[in-house]
Amino acid sequence: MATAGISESAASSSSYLDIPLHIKYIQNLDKRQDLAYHLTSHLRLNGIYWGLTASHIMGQPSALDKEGVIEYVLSCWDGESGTFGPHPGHDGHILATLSGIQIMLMQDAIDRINVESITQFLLERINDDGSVSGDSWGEIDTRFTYICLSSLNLLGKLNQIPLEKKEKIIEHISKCRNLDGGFGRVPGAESHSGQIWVCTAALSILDRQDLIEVPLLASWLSERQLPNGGLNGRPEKLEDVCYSWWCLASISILGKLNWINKDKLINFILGAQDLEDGGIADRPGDWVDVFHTIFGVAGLSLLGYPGLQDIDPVYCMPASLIDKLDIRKPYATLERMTSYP
Amino acid sequence: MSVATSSYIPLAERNLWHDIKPIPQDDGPNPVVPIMYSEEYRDAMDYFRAVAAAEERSERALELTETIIRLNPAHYTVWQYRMATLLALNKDLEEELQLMNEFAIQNLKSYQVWHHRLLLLTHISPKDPSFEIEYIHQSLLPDPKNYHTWAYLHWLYSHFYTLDRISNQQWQNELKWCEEMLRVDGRNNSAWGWRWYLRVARPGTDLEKDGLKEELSYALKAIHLTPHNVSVWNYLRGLLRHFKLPLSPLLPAILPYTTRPSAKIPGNPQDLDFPLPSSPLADDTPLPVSLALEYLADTLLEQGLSAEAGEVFSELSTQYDRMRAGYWEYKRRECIEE
Repeated sequence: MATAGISESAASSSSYLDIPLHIKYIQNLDKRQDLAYHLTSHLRLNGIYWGLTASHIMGQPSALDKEGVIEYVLSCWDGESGTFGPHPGHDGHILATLSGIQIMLMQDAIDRINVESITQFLLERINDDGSVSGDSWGEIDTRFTYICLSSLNLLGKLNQIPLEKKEKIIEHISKCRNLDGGFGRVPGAESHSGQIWVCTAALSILDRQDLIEVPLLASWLSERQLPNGGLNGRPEKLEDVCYSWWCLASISILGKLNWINKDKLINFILGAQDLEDGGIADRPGDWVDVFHTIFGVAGLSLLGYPGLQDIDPVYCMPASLIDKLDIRKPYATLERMTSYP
Repeated sequence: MSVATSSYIPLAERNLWHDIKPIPQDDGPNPVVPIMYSEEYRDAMDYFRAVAAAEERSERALELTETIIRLNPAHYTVWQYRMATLLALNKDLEEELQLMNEFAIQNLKSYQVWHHRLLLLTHISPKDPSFEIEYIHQSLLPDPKNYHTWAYLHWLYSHFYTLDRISNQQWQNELKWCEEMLRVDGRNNSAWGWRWYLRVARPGTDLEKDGLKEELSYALKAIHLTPHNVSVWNYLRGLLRHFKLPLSPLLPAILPYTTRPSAKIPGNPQDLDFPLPSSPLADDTPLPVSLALEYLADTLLEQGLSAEAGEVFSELSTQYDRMRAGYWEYKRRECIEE
């Protein structure tokens, strides 16, 4: 894969999303041989979720071997902690738990996991002050708050959280809200698009969108769009395709999708494709990875790009599946275009 | 792929480990994602699984965790095991902190390094945490917007404040340091967030009683230095919102950045002494500044002049900030509904 070649070909032929090529890219992920791949074993289960969701949104839910994926997920089970780890032999962790649930739901195999055990693990992560830890080590992060709530809701177990704990969770999220209407990782931490997404989605799941200062935050999110059309994570930082998801999904939840310039963002994402070997990078000209591939595709879906399936911005999963589970929360969408440009 | 490591002696060939039977990686029945390992990493992980299964808390286990996290600083299971082993062996945690400092220099960064550091400081619980604060200040120099570092700095102050170990002098020093960070880069959004904590949000501060006007002046001076800096506009608007202050008193300091520099707004007092921009403005100031126009429009709204406010939003939407036309149109329509 020529690096100079990417930016040239991207610039000249970035007028469309090459779905078949990206599907092939995802299917070939496990054939990689480099060191960087194995050093990211702590992300492996997340990686499968990213690839599988991208396949669904691109209309090819069977792109990955169904039974193979299911068996892999089951092999990530950590009996000691009672939930999934990111890879066989790894300790259970909240990050892997959500991916495991999401994958099994997409594979229609949720009945093959121990829902009770996972529910226990999730409930035990909720601290007395309403913060949520990733595992027994204690690290807190509003990402974990979202994961806990989303996981429980996907399993139909959100009502297992005691009322006082639920109030504390809401209180903790509120403590993470900043002067600009945004949210941070922990109380006092700077507003950041990624943390904003998990907090707005978490508040949606709890039906407390009223705690979001909507025009203020949506205005801040719209300011993330740079002259090149890409979105950044906070003021004066670089654009990155993954923010096409974090910012866009947030602003969709807030009902203000039209505050983002659609055409400029679409062109930015399309320009970040590798049109030789597939996949999407963080910005045009860089190396691709499956993380940016899903979030680029998901962003395009929210923008109504033709040929894609609807994605739910609260759960980052196929909208049809969320509708079937009857857990959909309010959000804005743009009409699916029949062609582009 | 195996990395050529002619100098690497497998653990199985070392006396220290002769009594341990390593547990090899189990990739599951039909690996969808088989992993190729470097020999050293695979070796270390095989032995780690064995010691973890036996819950061995020993020097060699400790060494093993260091080997692994040097290769893979994101392996949280191994970090967890390391902490538990350090505590079980009653190791010198300040030495461990030195090791973490070395990690940082070698650019071994991850969420886990920071959480480990947090746990170390919690256990060490120094009477005077200023050495750690100083270390964090230093580590921000080459990487002034590192999200983890700033969040950790916040934790340091919150945690040791509740232990009553942050003096007033320390808070003052911190404010001076924050001002220096902003002097070096007035566009550092993290530093503005930190200033908000130090001046508005932290326990023991009361800006309303002591320093609100100075704070507004500070923000205005920063605007005059970098008029297109969204962080400082957010800060200024945040102050006005938080303390429920009207926008009009500051308008004279902002008008020069708009399309109506000589506007006379009814009810707008002209005699308040907030810092004004240099007159004329520096040659390289592109005008107008969208956020100044937004300020003007919001002030007009505050004065009940919705039609005029709507005009300004319309200018923003159609001319000066077309990228955010969706937002400006929303604001314009709100003016009509007023």
